[in-house]
Amino acid sequence: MNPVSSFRTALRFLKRDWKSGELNALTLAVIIAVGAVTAVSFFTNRLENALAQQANELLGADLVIQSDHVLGVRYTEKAKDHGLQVSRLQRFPSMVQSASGNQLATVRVIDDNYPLRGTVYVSSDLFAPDSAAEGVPQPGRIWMEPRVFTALGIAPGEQVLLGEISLVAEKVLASLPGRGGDLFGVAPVVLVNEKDLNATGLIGPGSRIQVSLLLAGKDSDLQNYKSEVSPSLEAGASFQDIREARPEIRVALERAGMFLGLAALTSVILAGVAVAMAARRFAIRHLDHAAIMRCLGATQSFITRVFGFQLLFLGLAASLVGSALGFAAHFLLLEIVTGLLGVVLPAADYKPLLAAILTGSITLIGFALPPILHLKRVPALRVLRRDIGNISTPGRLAYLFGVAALSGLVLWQADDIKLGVYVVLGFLIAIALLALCAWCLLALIRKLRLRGGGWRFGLLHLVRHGRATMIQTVAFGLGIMSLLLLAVIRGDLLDEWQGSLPADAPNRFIVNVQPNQVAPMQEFFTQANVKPPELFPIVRARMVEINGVPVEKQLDDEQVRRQVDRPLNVSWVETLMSDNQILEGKWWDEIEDPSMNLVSIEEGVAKNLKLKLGDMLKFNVAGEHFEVKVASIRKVDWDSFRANFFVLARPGFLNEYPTTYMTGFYLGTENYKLLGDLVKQFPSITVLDVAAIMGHVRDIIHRVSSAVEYVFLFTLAAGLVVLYAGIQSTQDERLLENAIVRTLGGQRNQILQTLLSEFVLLGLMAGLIASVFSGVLAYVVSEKVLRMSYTIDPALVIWGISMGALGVGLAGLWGTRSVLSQPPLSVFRRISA
Amino acid sequence: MSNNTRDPILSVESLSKRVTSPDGELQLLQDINFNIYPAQSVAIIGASGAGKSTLLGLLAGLDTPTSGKVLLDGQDIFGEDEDGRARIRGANIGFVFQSFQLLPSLTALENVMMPLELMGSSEAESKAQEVLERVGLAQRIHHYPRQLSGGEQQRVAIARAFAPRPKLLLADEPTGNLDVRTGEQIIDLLFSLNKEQNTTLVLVTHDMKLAQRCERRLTIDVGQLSEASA
Ligand SMILES: Nc1ncnc2c1ncn2[C@@H]1O[C@H](COP(=O)(O)OP(=O)(O)OP(=O)(O)O)[C@@H](O)[C@H]1O
Ligand SMILES: [Mg+2]
Repeated sequence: MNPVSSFRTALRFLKRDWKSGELNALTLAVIIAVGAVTAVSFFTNRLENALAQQANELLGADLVIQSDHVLGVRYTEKAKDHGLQVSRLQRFPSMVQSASGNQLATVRVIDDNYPLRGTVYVSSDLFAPDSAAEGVPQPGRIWMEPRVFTALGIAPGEQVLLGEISLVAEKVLASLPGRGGDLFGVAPVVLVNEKDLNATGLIGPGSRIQVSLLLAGKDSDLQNYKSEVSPSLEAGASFQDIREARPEIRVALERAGMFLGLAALTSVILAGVAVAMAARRFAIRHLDHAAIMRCLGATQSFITRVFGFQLLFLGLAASLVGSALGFAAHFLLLEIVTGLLGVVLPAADYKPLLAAILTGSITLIGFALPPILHLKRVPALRVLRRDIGNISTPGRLAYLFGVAALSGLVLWQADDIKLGVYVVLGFLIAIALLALCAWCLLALIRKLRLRGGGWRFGLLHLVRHGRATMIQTVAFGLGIMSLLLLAVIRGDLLDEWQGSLPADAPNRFIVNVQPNQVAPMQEFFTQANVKPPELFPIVRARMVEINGVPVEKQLDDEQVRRQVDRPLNVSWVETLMSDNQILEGKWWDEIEDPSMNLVSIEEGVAKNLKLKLGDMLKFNVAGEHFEVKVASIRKVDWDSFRANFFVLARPGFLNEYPTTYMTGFYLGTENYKLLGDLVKQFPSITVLDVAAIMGHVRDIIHRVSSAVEYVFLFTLAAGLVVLYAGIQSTQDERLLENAIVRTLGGQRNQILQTLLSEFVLLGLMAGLIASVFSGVLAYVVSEKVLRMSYTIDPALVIWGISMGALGVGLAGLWGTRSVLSQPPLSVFRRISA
Repeated sequence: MSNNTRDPILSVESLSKRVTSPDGELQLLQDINFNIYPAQSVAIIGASGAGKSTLLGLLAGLDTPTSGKVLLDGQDIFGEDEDGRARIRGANIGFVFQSFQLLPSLTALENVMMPLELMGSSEAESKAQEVLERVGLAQRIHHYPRQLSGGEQQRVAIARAFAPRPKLLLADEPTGNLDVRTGEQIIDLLFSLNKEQNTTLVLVTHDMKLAQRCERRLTIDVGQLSEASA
């Protein structure tokens, strides 16, 4: 028999099976599973892109080349060749002057394309609510941050001098993309049109200028560009993207990305499990076909081809339908989320589609074909004697093959290979554990030597169908585990985000407060009926020696060296701030000796500079030195946006050094005039407005968390398919058996008891193991991948058990309810026909 | 007919069964009427596809008719719901399927114990063992159905049907898969039950020898019933 005829036979069989309704469960499982994978993958893929884009708005571009000199045109031309948008930004320090004062500012010179991503926000009055700017400053105009206005003592509309030209200070700059950096160290920003640059006369050979080439475009184009340009990047130039520019957003985005990735992987696994369960049923039912064909003279290779083709057609067709449905469903999801968020989403990738179709076809073939291949070893004559060759249930090998295929898929789909490996390993271990526990429990029940009806029948049934019981335990367990894992991590993420940015997080900072202004300033706030913020003293000190060795000699890393190159803000407090946490060592109050000069170091700095407890550090403040000992290492919650310091000193020994004070506090927009008054009364202070940046961060976090919610719902749906397919997989046997029990006079109550005890025990077992294991897996994923602290919650076990017992119990009853209402003969006819 | 004076154990009144098949409406049974009296033995005969199994299933309440009644001890079994019919079967009827319908996950012994356990019998195991010995399967009680030959499975099915000592035993071709000798043993067994316990026997059969041993023979032809006078 040649391949053509097996091809035709496969089609003919498929048509017949389809007509008889034989394929309903399998097709449905593949369609829904593939649908869920498609919807979740598309959704997460596009959302991730959207979130990244959103974050890029803070950078003003998708990608930036930073350089300390003017870049050649080749960069721009090549970018245009790659279809990218380009904007050039130049930056240098300069004095801005007015009749009554002057201020050192960072001049940003921009072209008309600026910004490529995000928006410049301006207002027409000092500290007034801002709105999106239209375009950029026209030639002859300058936009300036509030500090410049107050320092120069002018109002919007007045003239200022920049180099050799006079410009109209048209607007107050509230926020602009790429402002970033150290809010306290950088001079205030002014924005000037490129066309005015030459006229200022500020640029000449040797002037300190920084150039950024802003780039935006499709991800693939950007990647191509980057890989083409990178090798020939000249000294002093480097690529930068959002992940380097804004750490707090990087963390939120990375975690959200991980979660979405985890959700997508989980839905692949759930889909795989659902298809595996349905395939098991298909294989069992088609073994008879294969056996009979064999007896009628078909060769094994012919049978293999026929069923192989059949599964391939079915897998592809159902996967196509499923992915079409999933694609449609993801629009629905997007509609909800974007309606809520108002983002424009980038176009979808092809990858989720491929992934979904592969998931459907590979898992189907992976789980359904091996048992049929296994038939080869069964002697033809004995094919119909079920006891010989054990052809009635798929072999262990079948599952190995399927599991391997599924693991491969997950790893291929994982954007983060570490996450992928953890998930695959976690699930493999879970499968083994679930099977082992099921086996032990069955052995225990067997030992009990139960007899009689009702619930004991149920337990016996579990034992008698030992292999099916183990498979179902694994399937239900995996389903429950995935959902619990996602639920736990989702909850932790949301908590973390909500906790990190409370509505009253500080949105204004005041720096440069002189010691003699502290009391009057607090008085000022009290008068204005605003709670006076806590003012922290700051000594700006440069670290020069660690344990007697000069810092430069100890650090190889260029970037780390730059960190100690400029002065650090050292503050001192009696009690530790609430958003700080001691990791190592002790806080002052636990240290007896009052004579020692002690400091507490932030964990990141300690790590970069390789500092340990007890290290002696020497600092330089304006030529004078002081030496301190590291008493503790702290973790700081930077996401809180509150005033925080890399180095905290014990109060007492820094008093005689030059000190300024700073504070961060929350001020509602309704009180913005207060800041104007404050600046009038204390002209030397600097007010920083981070409301706009915080607004962005909050917005992104909000989007991310609602995305997480919706994706979770969808994975839940995939979990329900596992439940359905799991119940379905042994439903025929159960219906048949109960119809026989019915024939022999079994009562409704007896059958209900049997079914309930069976399914509830199955669910309990799966739920118990799954919840314990999901706790462990959540711990690993949180700590190792998301880098969040995680505490195992015992309530998880209660959730797992009740989810298992209730879910599986009810679904099991629902799936077999027909036996209670239908005449036994019609059940027999339906199933064994 | 000696028993006509007593109330019938089974009374069938204008029973009809119609099904819709892919080829249109199919009248399987049409207006069937007859009575069966306690301790009678009745053979139902007819060509393949005549409707014998359909009728037997209806007598046991395993299926529902399109119209008509089946009274067991005067009680209309189709007046009950599925649960009620199951209860009636449990208390009164043993049934042997043409295709045996043994539970594949239970051993021969456990299969036979099943109806006894459902009744809450405390001696299910010993009783089941005894019955299996009587059908000649003492050596095979711990085998699973798939390990048994067709005839052996049939004997387990018969043992299961009469283990609870039903008043009425309905058997669909109980000797269909048996060799002549075993077949005769089984027939002897059925009739000794009939004698010892006054069990009413209704047997569907193609075996004329078996039919001859029954007191009455009902013939079905294309859904119509007729009775050959003894
Ligand atoms: N639910 C049904 N739907 C369609 N056709 C049915 C149904 N039940 C029975 N039949 C048909 O009714 C006819 C009688 O079936 P039945 O099983 O009663 O025959 P039988 O007399 O027992 O035959 P045999 O001696 O071969 O066992 C057959 O042609 C069968 O295909
Ligand atoms: Mg028949």
